[in-house]
Amino acid sequence: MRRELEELALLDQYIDGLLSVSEKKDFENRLRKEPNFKQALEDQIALRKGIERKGLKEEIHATKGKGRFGKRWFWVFTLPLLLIIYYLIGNKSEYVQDKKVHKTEQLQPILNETVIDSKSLKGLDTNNLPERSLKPQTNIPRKKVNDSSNQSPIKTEGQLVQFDVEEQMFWIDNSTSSQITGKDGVILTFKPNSIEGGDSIEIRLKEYYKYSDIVMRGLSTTSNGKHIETGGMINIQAYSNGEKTTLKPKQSYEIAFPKRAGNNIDGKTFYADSEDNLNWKIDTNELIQQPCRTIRKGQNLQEISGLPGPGSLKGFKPAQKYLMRFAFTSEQAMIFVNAEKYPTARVTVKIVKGKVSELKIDSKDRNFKTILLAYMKEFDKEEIKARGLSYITDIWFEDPAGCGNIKQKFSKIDQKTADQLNQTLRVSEYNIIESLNLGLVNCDAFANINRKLIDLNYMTSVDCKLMLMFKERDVFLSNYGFAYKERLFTQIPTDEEIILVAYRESEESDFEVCIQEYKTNRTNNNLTLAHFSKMTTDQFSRTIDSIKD
Amino acid sequence: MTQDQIIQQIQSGNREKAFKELYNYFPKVEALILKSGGSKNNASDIFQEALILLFRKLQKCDFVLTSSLETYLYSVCRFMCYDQNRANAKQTDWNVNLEESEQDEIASIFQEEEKYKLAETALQTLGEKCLEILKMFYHQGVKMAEIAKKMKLSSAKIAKNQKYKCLEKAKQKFVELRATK
Repeated sequence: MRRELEELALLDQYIDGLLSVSEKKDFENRLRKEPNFKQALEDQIALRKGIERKGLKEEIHATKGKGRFGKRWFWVFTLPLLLIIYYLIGNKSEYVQDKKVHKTEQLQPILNETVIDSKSLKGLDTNNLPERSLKPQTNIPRKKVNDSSNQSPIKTEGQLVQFDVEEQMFWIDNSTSSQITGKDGVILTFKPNSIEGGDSIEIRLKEYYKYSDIVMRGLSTTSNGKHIETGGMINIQAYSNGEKTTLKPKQSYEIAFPKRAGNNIDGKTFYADSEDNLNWKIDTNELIQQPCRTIRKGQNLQEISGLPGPGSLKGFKPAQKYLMRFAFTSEQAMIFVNAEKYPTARVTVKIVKGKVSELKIDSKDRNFKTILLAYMKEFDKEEIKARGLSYITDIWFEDPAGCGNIKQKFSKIDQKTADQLNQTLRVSEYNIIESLNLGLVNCDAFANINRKLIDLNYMTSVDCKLMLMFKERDVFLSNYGFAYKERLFTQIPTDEEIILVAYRESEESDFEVCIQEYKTNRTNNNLTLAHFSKMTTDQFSRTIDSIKD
Repeated sequence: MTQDQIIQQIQSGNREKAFKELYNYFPKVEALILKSGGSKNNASDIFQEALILLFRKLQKCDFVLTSSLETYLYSVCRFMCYDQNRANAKQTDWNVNLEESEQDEIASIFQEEEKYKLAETALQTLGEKCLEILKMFYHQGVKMAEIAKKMKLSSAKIAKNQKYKCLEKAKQKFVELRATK
C-alpha cells in the first residue's frame, strides 16, 4: 500500500480504537505536533460521517411511506372492498351471529360453583408504578411469536398475538467448565466436554423469570393437570457449528435460579417439550441430584463451587452478547465480557476496602486487554477515591469515533440505582437444580393445597388471552378467551387469592388489559365486571411485575 | 413499538423498522412546515434531516433523552425550520418543550452536521462502485472479504486497497471544497 494510503489506514485504526497504548501515544504526539495531521484526522472523521449520511438517507428514503401514515391511501381503497367481502361472506359465520346478540364490551367471569369477593385493580395508575427493573432488563425486547396453539379456528376479532422474551446468545468453550449468567440472573454451569460437538458451543437462553415475561408468553405451570409452583423457568438450546446439539449421554448441567422473595418451594427438576400447551414432566433420573439445593440468605456463595460471591470472584466469567458491563460496590466487582467479540476473555476483579486489589485478565485478544487495562487504570485513580459510590458502566467498542474515548463512556449513577443493580447481580439466594435435558427446564414443586377444588369458567365479549395467577404462590395458568366462548380454569382451590389478567394487542396503545383480583369463596356470589384499559408494553410489564407486591 | 424498542433498534443497526415507526410523526411535522410557508418537499427533507440528527444523538453512549421521541423530532424540525427562516429574516425564536441543555445540544449537533454535509457533497463526485464500497464498510459494517466477493474483487486485500483509494479521492475533493467555502 502506498504511504498516503497507509496513513489513511492509520487514521482509521485510531478512530476505531485499534491502536495499542504505545501506538496511540505516538499518534497523539503527532496530533499535537503536526496541525496537518490533526486536520487529516478531522477530515477523515467528517468523511466517514458523510458516508454514514448517505447510507442513512438511503435507508430513510426506502422506509419513507411504509409506516402507518404511508398506509393511509392503501386503506382508503382497500377498506371498502374488505367491508363488501365481509358482508357477503361473514354474515353466515357463527361469530357474527354471536356478535349480534352480545353487544357489551365487558369481561364477565362466570363461576360454576363459586363466585367471588372481588377487588378490581381498575383505576390503577400505571404511570406512577415504581421502576422495578434496571435498564438492561426493562429494555429486553419482546418479540411476537407464531401462535401455534390448538385452539379451534374461530374468527378472531382481537389479535391474540404472543410475545416472547429475547433469546440471549452466549458462546462457551466446551473443553473446560463454563458458566454463563442470563440477564435476569439465572446462572448455568456446564462441565467440561458435556455437550456433543466441537469446542465452541453457542448457547441460546430464554429466561422466564419476571412475572411479566411469564404472563406475556402465556406460560402455564401444570403437570398432568396438577398445579405446580415455579422457582424459575428457562428455555435453553445449544448449537455446534450452527447445528442444534444435545448434552452427551449421562451428562448434566447446573442451573441456579435467583430466588424470588416469598418463594420457598422445595423444587425438583421438571422439563417440557413445547412452550405452547405446556405440560411439565418431573425428571426422575437418578443421575441428577434431587430435590434442588437452595442457598439461603446469609450463606456465602463461595461455598458453592463455580458460583461467584463476595471475596470469591476467581473464574467468574458471565458473558453477555452485546455489552461489557462493569458494576461494583466497595466489596466486589463483576465484569460482563462481550462474548461475541471476545469469546475467550476471562476477567477477575477483587476489591478490598474500595480499592481494586486484584485484576486478572486472561484473553488472547491484545486489544481487549489494552482497552480494559487503560480503563481500569483511569478508573482506579480517579474514581475509587470516592468511597461508597457505585457505578454502572457500558463499554461500547463498536463506534469509538462517535463516542469519544473510553472514559467518556462511563456514567456515574446514583446510589439507589446502583444498589438495585448490585442486588440483581448479587442475589444471595438461589434454587439450584441439575438437568439432563436442554430445552424447557423448570425448578418446580407441586402446589400442595388441601382445600376443595373448583372450576372457574370465564366468558369474554372480546377475543383475548387469559392468565390466572395465584397471589400467594407462583402458579400460572394460561387460556384463550375467544369472544362469547366459555373458557375453563380447572382445579382451582377455594379460598385462594387469584389474579386474572385478560389482554389483547391494541393498535393504538400496544395492549388493552383487564386485571381483576379475587378471593375464591363458595359463599360469595357477587359478579364483577371490568373494562379493558389501554396500556403500553412497558406499562403492562410494570403492572404485572408489581402485581404480587 | 415502544420508545425503548425504537431506540434499541436504531442502536443495534436494525434501523428500517425504527424509521418506519418514526415516520408516523411526519404528518405533525409536515403541518408545521407548511404553516411556516414551506413546501411538502421541504417538509420531507427537514424530517429526513431530523432523523439523521436523532441517529447522531443515539450514537453517543452517554445520550440522555429528556422528552419523548416525538417531541424531540418535532423540536429538531422546528429548530431547522427556524434556522431556515432566520436566514430569510422571517422568524426570531424557536420555542420548544425541551430542556435548555437539550436545545443547546440540538443546535450543536446541527452545526456539526453541516460539516458532514460538505463531506457528503465530496462523496457525490465518486463513482458508484467506490461509493458502494465505502458505504458497505463504514456504514453497514460489512467485512472486507465479503465486500471483495460482492464487488467481484479478487481478495480482501485488494478490496481494502480499493477502499482507501476511494477514500483518498473523496478526501482530495473534500479538501478542495473546504478551501473554497
